[in-house]
Amino acid sequence: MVVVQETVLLTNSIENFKWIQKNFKELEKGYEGKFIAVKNEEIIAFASTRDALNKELQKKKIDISEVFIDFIPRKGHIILF
Amino acid sequence: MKIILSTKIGDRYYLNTVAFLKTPRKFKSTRVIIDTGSPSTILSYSDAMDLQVPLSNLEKGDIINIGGSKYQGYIFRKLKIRMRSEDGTDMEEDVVVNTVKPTSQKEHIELTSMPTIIGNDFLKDKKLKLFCDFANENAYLERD
Repeated sequence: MVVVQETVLLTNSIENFKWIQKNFKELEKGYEGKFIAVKNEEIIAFASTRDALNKELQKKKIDISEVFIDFIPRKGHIILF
Repeated sequence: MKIILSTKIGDRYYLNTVAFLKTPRKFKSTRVIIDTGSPSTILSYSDAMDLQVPLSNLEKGDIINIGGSKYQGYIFRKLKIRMRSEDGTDMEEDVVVNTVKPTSQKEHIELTSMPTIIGNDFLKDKKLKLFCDFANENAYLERD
């Protein structure tokens, strides 16, 4: 049962990841420099910091495992890891 | 087994994919970067927090340089990483990772935008070959 749940969560995240990739240019316009939480190919929360995003999700009673969180970098910025 | 990688984030070229991370306490999916410039796999601070990794109880690892700053690494031995292969089956692996924790608010802000990094140790230990053709936007990890 747990494995099925994990498989479904991974499948959902892959779909949300693809949605972000496909719509990245649009997302850059509205969410530049922001953390976004995506569920069912829809942004359900966003914030300037991860802490603020976590608080938003807590307010909405959404567990972190249910969403795909990503950071939209600022235009013209290159992130080195 | 072939795990397809995305070659871009926006219009920048990175090798990345989605991974399902699991600890004894929590699980989540996240974007991971495949970074052949990193000898070690690094569990990001944000993912470590989301997964409730007990950072204070971990043994010290190497000093990790990220973006010009130095951080004390901590070794976490109870992480499972799962990735989806091209044929729809999942590869799940136990992995020992380094993770980092900030010592100031400035570091906290810097580290929260850093993703989890799949380093060369993971590719070697799991016997994964990396194919990458950025020009044709084709990249994957492969295991016989």
